Amino acid sequence: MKQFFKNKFFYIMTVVALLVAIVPTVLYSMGLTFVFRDVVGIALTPLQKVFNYATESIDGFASYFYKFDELVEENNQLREQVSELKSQIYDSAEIEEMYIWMSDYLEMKMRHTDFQFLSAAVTGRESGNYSKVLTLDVGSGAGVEVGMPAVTSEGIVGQVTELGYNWCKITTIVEANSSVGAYIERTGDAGVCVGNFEMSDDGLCKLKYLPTDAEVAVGDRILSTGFGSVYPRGLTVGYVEAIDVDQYSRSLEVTVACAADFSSLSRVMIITSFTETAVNGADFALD
Amino acid sequence: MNDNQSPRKNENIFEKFRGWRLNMSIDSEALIKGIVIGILLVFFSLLETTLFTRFKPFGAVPDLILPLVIAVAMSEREKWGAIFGVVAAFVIESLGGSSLTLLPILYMPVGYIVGILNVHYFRDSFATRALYTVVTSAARSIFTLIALFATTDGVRFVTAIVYVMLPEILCNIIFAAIPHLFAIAALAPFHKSRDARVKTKDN
Repeated sequence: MKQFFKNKFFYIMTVVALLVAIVPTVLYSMGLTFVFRDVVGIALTPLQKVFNYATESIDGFASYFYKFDELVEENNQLREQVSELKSQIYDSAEIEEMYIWMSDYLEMKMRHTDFQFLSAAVTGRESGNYSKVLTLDVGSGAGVEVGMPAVTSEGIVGQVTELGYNWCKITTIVEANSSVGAYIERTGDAGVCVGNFEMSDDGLCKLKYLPTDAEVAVGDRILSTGFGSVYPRGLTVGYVEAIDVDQYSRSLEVTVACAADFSSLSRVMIITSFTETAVNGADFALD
Repeated sequence: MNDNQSPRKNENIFEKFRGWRLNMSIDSEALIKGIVIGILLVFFSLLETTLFTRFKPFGAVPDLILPLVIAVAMSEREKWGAIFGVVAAFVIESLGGSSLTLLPILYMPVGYIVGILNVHYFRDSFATRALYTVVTSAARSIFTLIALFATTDGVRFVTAIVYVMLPEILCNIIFAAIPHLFAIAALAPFHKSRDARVKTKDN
């Protein structure tokens, strides 16, 4: 075996190998590039680019297989995140809605410091096609009593007409047998707002018993008078939509668009107590 | 008779190099063989420095050139093995090597020794190829460790063994089959023509 390492070829090759190892290393440490190394780089770099491009393509295709589990896991995580974010969006929308709701009532509360509110959610509506009655999620257990008014920040909704321990029913002001003492805010002319079966679906009611000389105009705001001890004075009933003359009673009959939107009500406030002092200081004329 | 008197008259340009001082002849077949081996070298160099550097099977880049050197040495004997070892080491170091060029010191002896062993001591078989591969892979990983400790500070020996040396040995052994198969397939035609020449001479 020894003779294999004692020949000219092996010696030369050993020297060449050492030179090929040492020269580039020394040149590299000196910040220089071995010229043959540079030649190899110049010649093969374009090919290397092609190979690299092919490798990237293979990697992209292969990743569908070897990263499948990883992708499935990532997909599940993303689904969970989407679900969570959807929930957050839903929650924030609900919070925003509640915020608007509460700020509206805060404003009302600031205007009517004597009002005591009880928040209630609308849990059901009358299933028949002839009445406009809402079911709320609070009842006598929460201190609700028959006759208490229910309002929204827009205006009067109705009054409690039926009561359970944890539920109550609200008969809206558009219901045919409802009536609210009301006056025109701008002129002070007073009348009675009564429900009308034919108009109730459209959220309208009639303001009756206005004198023919009352200066009423379309768009006038109608407020509650406070008579009858059901509704406090000054709550918005609605806005004048049309004006007619009743030939028989010789009085004006005004169509009022109720301020509260009965079709989309989801939450109302029940006024559990209020002072009736305002009634005594009424600044309207009542014929 | 005339042929015996002037044997070099009809030689082509490649034949004129026959009897070179290192007892290596360059003829057309050797040139074609060199080109084929060169293509193999370029192909596996590119494969190693692109595909395998991206995928890193078992956490290491397999050395595809070392088994190619072994395969060439087994096929073409020690001189081809040694020369190819130096060239291959230089090419792979140029394409993807570090600042420290150590591979020529490994590849040249590997090519030379494997060529001698295969001619004089062992027969070409799967077992001998496996043996050469395992031994040289271990030697290769020692070179990697030397390069690692020479160029990188603060590497713990155990970490180097577990995360560098062992994965590299495993990777080299597993992927060595690819260059071996390619080399066997690419160099087989030259063996056939050589066998045919030997038979003609014998007859």
